[in-house]
Amino acid sequence: MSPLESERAPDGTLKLCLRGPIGFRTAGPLRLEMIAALSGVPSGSRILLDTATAEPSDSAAAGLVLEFLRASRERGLVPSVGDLDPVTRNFLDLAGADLLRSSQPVVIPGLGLVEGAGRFVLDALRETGETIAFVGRVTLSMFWSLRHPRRVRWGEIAFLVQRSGAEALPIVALLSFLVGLTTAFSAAVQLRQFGADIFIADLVGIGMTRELGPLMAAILLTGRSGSAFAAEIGTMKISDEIDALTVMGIRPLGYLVMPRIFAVMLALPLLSLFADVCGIAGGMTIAGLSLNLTPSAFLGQLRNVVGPWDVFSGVLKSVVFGMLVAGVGCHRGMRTEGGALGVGRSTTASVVSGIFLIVLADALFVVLFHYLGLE
Amino acid sequence: MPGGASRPVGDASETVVEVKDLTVRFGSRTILDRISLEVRRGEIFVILGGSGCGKTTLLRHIIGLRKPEGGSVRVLGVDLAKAGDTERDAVRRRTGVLFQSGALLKSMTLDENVALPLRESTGLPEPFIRELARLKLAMVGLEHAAGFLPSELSGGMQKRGGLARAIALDPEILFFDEPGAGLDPVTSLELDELILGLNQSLGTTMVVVTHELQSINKIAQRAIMLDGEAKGIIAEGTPAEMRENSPLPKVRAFFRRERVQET
Repeated sequence: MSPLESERAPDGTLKLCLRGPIGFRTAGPLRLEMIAALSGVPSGSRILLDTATAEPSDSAAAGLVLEFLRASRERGLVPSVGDLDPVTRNFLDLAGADLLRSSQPVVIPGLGLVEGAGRFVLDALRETGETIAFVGRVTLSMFWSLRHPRRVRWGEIAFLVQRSGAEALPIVALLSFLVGLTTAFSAAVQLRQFGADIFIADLVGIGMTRELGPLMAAILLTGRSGSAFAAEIGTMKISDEIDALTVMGIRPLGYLVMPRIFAVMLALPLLSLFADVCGIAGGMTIAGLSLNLTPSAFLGQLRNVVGPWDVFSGVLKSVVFGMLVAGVGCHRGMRTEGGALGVGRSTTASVVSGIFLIVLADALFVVLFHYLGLE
Repeated sequence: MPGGASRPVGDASETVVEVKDLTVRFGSRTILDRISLEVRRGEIFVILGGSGCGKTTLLRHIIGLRKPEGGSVRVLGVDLAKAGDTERDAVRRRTGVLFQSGALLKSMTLDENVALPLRESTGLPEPFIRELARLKLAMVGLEHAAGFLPSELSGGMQKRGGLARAIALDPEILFFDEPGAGLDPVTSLELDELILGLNQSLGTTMVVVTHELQSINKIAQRAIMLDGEAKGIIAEGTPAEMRENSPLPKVRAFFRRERVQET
């Protein structure tokens, strides 16, 4: 006995009958069979589904009834529901009669090209506006903190400096050492051809202090701390904790954001100095191993070429980088919406836009220093 | 009688949940000491008691989210703490849980939440799954809210949405953790009626953890009362029996919303 039978009533109505056991396991093929039975029927004709002799073990048959109605209506047929088995009737009774009266077409939501482009531009504009407002509020907060130093959470700042600064020392040491080593090694081969061995100290010294040290430290901190800030504050945001702070009269900006920005502005310059030292140590290692340059010769040359400005410009940049890293992380966190997925999005965005802003700021600094004659 | 004609529910005397000598400890603190209970197919079984007596913890043991420190829990004949992954998944597909907060996934719309278990464990085609999700949402009266995110719904709607997801696979047993918590009396009553309706027309076994008297009186067919001091079950029976005949003043006081008279 086939699970789906069709017969034609005297008045021309096509009657489909579901029979025998039906469940989630068997409903797939049965549904295809049912839709196939509909396809040959001329539009406008009446069609009836009957499940009186079906033995459903779950709501699959009730689902088939809904599918029957939807598929028939889409084809312009006039469907109706005949006798139902008790299980299916119970399900449909609980759902209410309204469910059978109309079918929702299966629409895959999508935006048109024009609408999508418009949305994109509007979103970008709104985001720019929000960012500007955030920067403004942070600046005001900063001035407020300077005028009320007793209200600043120094303990929290110290803790954050330890977490994002001191705890990052090992990884910063390792990476900068390797960067110094790689730079020196790539250069050593070229410099030896010209007998310009000693200039390896210039290259590594100036390169690390001006560019690579601050950049390496900042990029690492974006991944380590900026993302953590976005996730922490984002989770607080979606679980109403930020709102709870606000209604207690505690400003989230002063309580959560400012300590993080201050802490990273303090920690990053120190980390970048540390990165300078480790990178130079890496360069010195290669100088000794592949160019037979003694440490004293290397350091002597270093003292001749690396001036205070080289080191100071790197530190200056680091302060700005720190502000960007922490600011972007906190900003993304505060903007988080939409549950766990939103936290993930904020974290990703904090790293991507953090690194982008660091590289952009670095380029601006180079141009600025050049035109100010600070070289 | 609508319940009688339902799907093959099997023997009404069949035990679907069996807790035997269960002991629960948090660190060195014992919460429940060697408690036993049985839930029979098709009944509405209520676990009640004051705050902090271990009701929710007991439920978490029954649904296999915690491993017992002593004793055993069998659901549909399977000891979840000892079963393999495949067997455990099979039992979980035959049971549904409504958590206190609804526990809808916040990044998905309501109908996606309901479609999720169907999509993951039936392998049916997408349009059919959407119709089934629509059916389940209509059963809890939320068909109009299908496309909303959980954050756009009220607490009561989130809870009903959680129920729609819990019944997505037509479970044989439904577990409820404080279904009325945080709801206004009318919404809470509606949820109770929904529980009764599902029980009567589909023959679903219900295990409900609650401390709300109105809810207990309306839905409970059989109940046990847990007590924090006794670390176990201090009363058992229908709500009426417990209210009228319990030898313990504590139990009678609970049902009359009184303080226990100190003597």
